[in-house]
Amino acid sequence: MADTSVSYKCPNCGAPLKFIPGHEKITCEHCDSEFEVSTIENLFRDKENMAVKTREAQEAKWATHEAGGEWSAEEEAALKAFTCSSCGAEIVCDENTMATECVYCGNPTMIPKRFDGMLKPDFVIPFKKNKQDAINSLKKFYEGKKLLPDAFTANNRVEAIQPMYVPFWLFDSEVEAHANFKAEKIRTRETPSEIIRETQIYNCTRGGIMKFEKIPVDGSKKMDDTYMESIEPFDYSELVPFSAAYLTGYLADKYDVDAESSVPRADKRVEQSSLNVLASTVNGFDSFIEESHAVIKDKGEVTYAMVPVWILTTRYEDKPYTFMMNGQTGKVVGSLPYDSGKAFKYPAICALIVMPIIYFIVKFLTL
Amino acid sequence: MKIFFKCLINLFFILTLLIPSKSFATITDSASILTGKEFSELSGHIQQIEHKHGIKIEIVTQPTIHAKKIKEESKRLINRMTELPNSGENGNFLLLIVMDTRQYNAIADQKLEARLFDLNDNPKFNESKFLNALKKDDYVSGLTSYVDEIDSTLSNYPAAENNSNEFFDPFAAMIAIVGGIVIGFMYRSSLIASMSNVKPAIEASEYLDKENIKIIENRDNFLYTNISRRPKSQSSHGGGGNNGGGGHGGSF
Repeated sequence: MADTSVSYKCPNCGAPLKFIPGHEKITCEHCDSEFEVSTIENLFRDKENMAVKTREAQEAKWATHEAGGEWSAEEEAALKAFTCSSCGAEIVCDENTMATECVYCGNPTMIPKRFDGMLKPDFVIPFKKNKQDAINSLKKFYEGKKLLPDAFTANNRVEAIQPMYVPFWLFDSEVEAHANFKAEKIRTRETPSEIIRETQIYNCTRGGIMKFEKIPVDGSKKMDDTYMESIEPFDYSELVPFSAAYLTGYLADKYDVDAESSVPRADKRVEQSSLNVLASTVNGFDSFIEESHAVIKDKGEVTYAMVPVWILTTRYEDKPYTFMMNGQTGKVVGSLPYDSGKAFKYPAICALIVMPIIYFIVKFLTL
Repeated sequence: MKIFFKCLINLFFILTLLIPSKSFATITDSASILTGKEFSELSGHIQQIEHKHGIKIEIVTQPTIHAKKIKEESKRLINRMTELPNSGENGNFLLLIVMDTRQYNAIADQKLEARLFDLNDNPKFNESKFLNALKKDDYVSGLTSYVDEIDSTLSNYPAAENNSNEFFDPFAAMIAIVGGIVIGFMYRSSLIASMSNVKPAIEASEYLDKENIKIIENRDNFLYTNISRRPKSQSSHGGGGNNGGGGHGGSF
């Protein structure tokens, strides 16, 4: 976590610094390092500024209240019965289901009561990949996986394939990021009797303004966050204003994690990327580490979108395996089982091939 | 005429400097432990062994080496041997005997050490005859038996003369086994990791507007310099060279 206060510590060893009267320089009593007064003033002025900026960053908020819109009366009217409008059967679904299909007649159905008090999505990315694409992509995902058990592919049948619109919060933000890095330049020289290593320590202050557009954070507890992050990225050029018409024929969940609760996940990613950008500008040093940082949101907007995902489930040795495919780009993510025998065999063959090569290289080098 | 002789003497002096020094003596008996006859017989015997194995053997006796350590002095001498143009093609061996301390030290250069000494620098040949003779001050018998032992040891390891690299190297084997196992484990980890592509997103660089990044602050302030000094490791070999290989010594 970024510091919101500053204590005067030795930049070399971290011990408290004291100005000893009568000395022209500030001396660390712990490691005997000496610093020019102006150097320490500059360093801690930077740190004080950083602490102020950190406090500002903590106070900055996303405009989460702006995400989503209100359902119009016509839209609510268009979303018909809780029982199937085609065959009259009762639709059974969980409390977050916005759209599903009738298990008896397959008729696509909306659940209007589930929209009460909820925000209407701003955008939707329509499905581009169909069921066959999902099956083909999953088969392609299996290819080249050397440790995949033979029985998994031989007896593999996809138990369930469901297309689902998953609620996502899309965070737009403009940030002002500041960071201090401790950098080192190392020079080594030799005298007849000793090797002298000089390490010059620098304080590098960096600041920048950058803009992030539509960082996606899923708003569904049911969907695994890591899976949802893994199916990124989405092509936002195909984002269209929301219409309930896009949901017909697909499952759709309403959000059960609101925008405010999703903020920490977006903030964390913005912070990390901002620091990466600033770190990339620290050049000309042998090494550097980040010492402190502050990322202030100047502008933070959130929109609510429905994103297409294919959910494929298969079973192996009585254990379910779930795969998800980005319904727009076709990217498949998931974890496959592995064969322990193969996990021993292939590395053992590799080791046996490598051993004689290493043997002759070592022998050649030590001759 | 005087000028001619002067020029002749100068020319002779210059030539002696220019011509490479004669091969080092096979025996340098500064401690005078051998008679003239013993000296010439032993020298001839050593030269036969040198010729047979393509090596150079030097036996040096010194009345004293003062405060110098016998091992360091041996290394200095063998380094000097290896630097000479007519040093042994298949290696050099030196036996130094110091009479005031009754110590001896045998040393071989890198080409020869593996054939004459084991990894602990113990000789692969029997020294008992040599030591018994030296204890009885029968130096010529001791030295003769010593060079004979070297001769038979080198004859027993003929394959080592030119094909030392064909021997099984346990060090290289150990590195190969450890390296193979480590690479095997790394390969296994990468294969297992390839079975899943589910990983959390820790940053948002794909959503960063890269064309509109503005760097507003860019300052590098020098703080201080840390200086560390490390003494250079001193070579354990005597003299300027580093050709001295394994060696062995003791007292008699």
